[in-house]
Amino acid sequence: MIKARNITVHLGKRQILKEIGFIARPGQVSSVVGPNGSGKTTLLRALTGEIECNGEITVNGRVLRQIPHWQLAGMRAVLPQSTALAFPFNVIEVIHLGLPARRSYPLALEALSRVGLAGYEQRPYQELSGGEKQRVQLARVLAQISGPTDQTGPRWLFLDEPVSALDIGHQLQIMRLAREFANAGGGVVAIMHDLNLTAMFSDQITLLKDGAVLGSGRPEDTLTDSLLSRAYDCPLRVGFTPPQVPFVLPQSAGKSL
Amino acid sequence: MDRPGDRSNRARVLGLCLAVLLALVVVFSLTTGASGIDTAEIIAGWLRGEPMASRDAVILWHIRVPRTLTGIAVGASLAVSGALMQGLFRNPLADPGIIGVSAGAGLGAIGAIVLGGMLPVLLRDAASIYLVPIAAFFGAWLSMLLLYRIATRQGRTSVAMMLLAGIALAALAGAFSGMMIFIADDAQLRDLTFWGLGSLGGATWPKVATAYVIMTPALVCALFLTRGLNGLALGEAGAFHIGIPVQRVKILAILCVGAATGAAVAVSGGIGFVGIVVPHLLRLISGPDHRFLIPNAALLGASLLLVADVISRVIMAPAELPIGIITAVLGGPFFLWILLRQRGVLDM
Ligand SMILES: Nc1ncnc2c1ncn2[C@@H]1O[C@H](COP(=O)(O)OP(=O)(O)O)[C@@H](O)[C@H]1O
Ligand SMILES: [Mg+2]
Repeated sequence: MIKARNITVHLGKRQILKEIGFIARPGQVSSVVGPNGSGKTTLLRALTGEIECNGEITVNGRVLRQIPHWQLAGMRAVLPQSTALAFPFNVIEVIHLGLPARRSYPLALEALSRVGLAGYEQRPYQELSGGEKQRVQLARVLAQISGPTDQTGPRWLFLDEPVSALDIGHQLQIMRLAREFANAGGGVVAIMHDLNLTAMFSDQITLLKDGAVLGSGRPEDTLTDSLLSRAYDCPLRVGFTPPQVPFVLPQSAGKSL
Repeated sequence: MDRPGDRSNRARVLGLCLAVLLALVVVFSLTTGASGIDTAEIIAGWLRGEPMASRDAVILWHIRVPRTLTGIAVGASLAVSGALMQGLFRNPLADPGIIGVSAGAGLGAIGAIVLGGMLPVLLRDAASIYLVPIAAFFGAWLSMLLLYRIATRQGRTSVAMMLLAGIALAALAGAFSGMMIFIADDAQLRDLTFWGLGSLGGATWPKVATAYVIMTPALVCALFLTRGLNGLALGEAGAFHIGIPVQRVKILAILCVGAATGAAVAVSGGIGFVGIVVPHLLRLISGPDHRFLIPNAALLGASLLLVADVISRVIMAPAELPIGIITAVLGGPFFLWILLRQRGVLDM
């Protein structure tokens, strides 16, 4: 379990996050949504230990700040929104980057086939399409933590807008891989842009606005007309597909609050 | 077993070939020169136990051996500095010569030669051989630090910022160097001219010793940074996420570049393009993995510089062309070729 209490972050002189509470459970996809600049990425950076923050964060019961970062690298992996590489690595070498201390060709190969890119080993990373790059990075991240759980507890996957730049087919493919990781006992924390994909794949949703939590809970409790309208400053109407999965169409938005 | 995409064996074989190449080039360097002595004959005679003809021995032992050793150290240092900087800046165009780090080292060296005379005599004597390389080290190190601070924001280095700040830094260092030369006296001017030609010609045993004392730790340290530099390819945040001690890697890399470039500039003046040509060629052959790139760069850099030095000795014999001219003539077009190839990537 990842528990965060009273997370406050200052960057420069500005307060970016205000007393945020956040919980992610193993076996679940926990999503964070909110308008641009609401602090989603900053929250992720605090949860991964990348930036200092006030408040308490624990991962699998251990205080985040007391976990040495080489150990942390075995407990959680982070998929950035996009990764450009300056040097001509090939695909299998990129996956090996995630395994700096224990390189293993079979492990890298397995991760590659899990994202559906078997046979891509020798392709130059720089020449791949955006979707292929993102899947290679996902393979790197999966190889880094080597499995959803082990005897020390669940492993964690942090995704920062993993599918924002992808077409609908690749969006579904990546989100399904995240879902499988959670179903196998791992935990997924995903920052999401698309509300409909969020509704489809999430167990828990945290709605951020101006660095504070506007609401959190199950999709049908957080993706509501009133919360979404307040979060995005425009009147939104939530619809439902048959088994109670909420959806939001821009066509249904009104002109002003 | 066939492991598609795994280039590490190719890189290892390449390393072996480069080591053999270096050995051949060393022999070539020892046996070539204006004086036309027969090195093979000297060594054969020496092995037979014959006393060495004193003139030949002097040339070999006091001129060619130190010169060759210096060439190895300078070539390896420049190439490794280039590879380190490129890894640190995440940019294949970073090079100590191009972005002003050599100019900073030069300012340090010139400052030491000119202002060193003002030091108290005791201190000056104690520090004499080390003063110039140490000042060059601080010059290189400070320029590195400044550049990195200016060009890198939140773990991202802007190419445009890096190149433009490098130009400004080089211009500033050049201006201050000019000022130093302006106030130098005649004896110092002779030293400066000799140094500024960018030549291995001034290599003496004490200089060799100083160069190795400073460069060896830097090059050994570089070998321990290879995993960190591989991780930094993912950006600073990405490197942190896979467990790399980012801050430590950055500090050590900057220190290594400062020491290696500083010492190279101190013993041989400004020799350009080795740091950019060597790593680029190696990446084309065996990929960008720093675990192999760094040691292979040291080997190829040493060979390349020795070859350039031999050319500089024989092309206009008995006169000597400054080696910096040779590396610039070979490296300049190569650099342009890299730029053209990278045009797509270079969105500033
Ligand atoms: N390094 C930084 N320094 C100062 N302000 C920052 C920094 N990074 C982000 N911010 C600010 O923090 C706010 C939240 O940013 P971010 O977490 O990236 O938002 P989101 O990911 O939700 O779009 C924004 O207003 C942004 O301008
Ligand atoms: Mg963001």
